[in-house]
Amino acid sequence: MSRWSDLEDEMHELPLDPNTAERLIAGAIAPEDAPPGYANVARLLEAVAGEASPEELVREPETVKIVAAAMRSPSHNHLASPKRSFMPSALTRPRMTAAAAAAALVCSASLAVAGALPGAAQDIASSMLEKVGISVPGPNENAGTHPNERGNSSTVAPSTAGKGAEISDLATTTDRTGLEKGAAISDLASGGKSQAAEHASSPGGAAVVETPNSGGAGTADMMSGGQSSNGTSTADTASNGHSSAGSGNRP
Amino acid sequence: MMAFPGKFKSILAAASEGAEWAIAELYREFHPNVLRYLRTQAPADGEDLASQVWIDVAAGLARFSGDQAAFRHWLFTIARRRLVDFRRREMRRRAVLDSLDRSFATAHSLDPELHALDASDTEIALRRVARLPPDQAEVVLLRVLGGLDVAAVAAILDKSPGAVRVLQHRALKRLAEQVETERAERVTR
Repeated sequence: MSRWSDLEDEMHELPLDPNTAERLIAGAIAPEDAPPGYANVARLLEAVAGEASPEELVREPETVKIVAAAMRSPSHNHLASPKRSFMPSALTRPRMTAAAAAAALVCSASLAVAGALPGAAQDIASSMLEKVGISVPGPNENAGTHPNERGNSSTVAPSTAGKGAEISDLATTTDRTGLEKGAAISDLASGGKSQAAEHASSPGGAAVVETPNSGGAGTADMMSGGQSSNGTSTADTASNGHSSAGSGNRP
Repeated sequence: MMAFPGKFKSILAAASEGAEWAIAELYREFHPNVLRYLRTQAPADGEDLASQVWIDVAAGLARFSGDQAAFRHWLFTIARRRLVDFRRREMRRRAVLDSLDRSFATAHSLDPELHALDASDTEIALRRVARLPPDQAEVVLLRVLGGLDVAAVAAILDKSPGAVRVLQHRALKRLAEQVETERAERVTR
C-alpha cells in the first residue's frame, strides 16, 4: 500500500458527529479541544471570522456619508415606507387623478402651442405658459373672429350694442309692414348681406324655398285612398266636435 | 458576536436618524464579514456588492426592529439577495460572452492561491472555504461570518434545517481532509 492510499484511509477516519460539528462551526470548540483531525479546521474557522483589516474598511468614510445622507433626506420617508401594496384603492386613485390632470395640462398646452384654442382661452394659455418659458401664439394670431380679450359683458364693444339698439329702433318705428319690414330689419342686422329684401320684392311676394320632395302629400293621399286630407274633419266628426287635431280645428 | 452589549438599541436608533457615528459603528462591526462573504462568493465584485448592501440598509433601516442577532440576520439576507441578483446578471453576461476566449482572465482572477504569499490568515482561510462546493461554502460562511444559527441559514438559503446540517457536516469533513492533504504534501516534499 502506498503512502497516498494510507493518507486517504486516514482521511476517511476523521469521524465527526453532528453535535460536535454544530459546536465546531458555532465556534464553541477551541482548537485544542477539537477532535482528532479538526484542530486545524477550528483554527481555520477562527481565521475566517478574524479581525477586520484596514483594507476591508477602506470604503467606510464614503459609505457612512452616503447612508447618513440617505437616512436624513426627506425622500427617505418614501424609501422607508412599508412594502408596496398591490391593492390599488389607496395609492392608485390619487395617482390616476394626477395622471388625468397632467394629461389635461399637456393636452391644453399642446393646443395652446398649436394656437388652436379659442381666442380668450389662447390668451390665458399664452400668458400662463409664458411664465414657464414656453412661447405660444397670442390670441390674435390664429383666433379668427373669436373674442380677443378676456372680459365680461360690461366690456362689450360699443359698436355691437349700438347696432342692437338701431335694429330695435327700426323694428318699433318703421312704417313698413310685413315682408318689407322684415327685409329691412334683416338687411340692417346682416350688414347688407341679407337677400330677404330681394325676395320681398319678388313677383310672388314670398321667398322661394325649394322642397326636396314634393310628392309627400300625394303619396299620403294615394296610400290612404284619398282619405288623408280628411283627417282633421274625420277626427272632428268622430269626436263630436271636441277634437283639436289638425291645423284647421276651431280655436 | 455581541459587539454592542446593551447599547445596540441606542446605536440603531441614532443610525435611523442619520447619525454618522452610529452608522460608522454598525459599519465597522458588520461590514468586514459581509464583505468576506460576498468576496468569497464573487471575488471580483464583492466590494461593490457590499456597498449595495449598505444602500439597501439605508433604505430599510427606519422600519427595522429587532436585536443585534436579528440585525445580523437581516443584513446577511440582504447580502444574499444581492449575491443572487449578481449571479443572475453574470449568467446573462456570460451567455453573451460565451463566444469570447476568457480562459486566461478567468484562470488568473479566480485562482485561490494567487497572491497567497502575502495573504493574511483570514485570506488563506477564506480561500480554503472558497474551494468547497458552492452550497457547502455558503453554509459555512453564513454560519461563521454571519453568526447565524441553522434555522436562520436555512431561511436565507431557502433550504430545510436538515439540509443545512448535512451541508455543514460535509463541509467540515472536507475542510479537515483538505488540511490533512496539504499537511501530507508538505511532509512528502
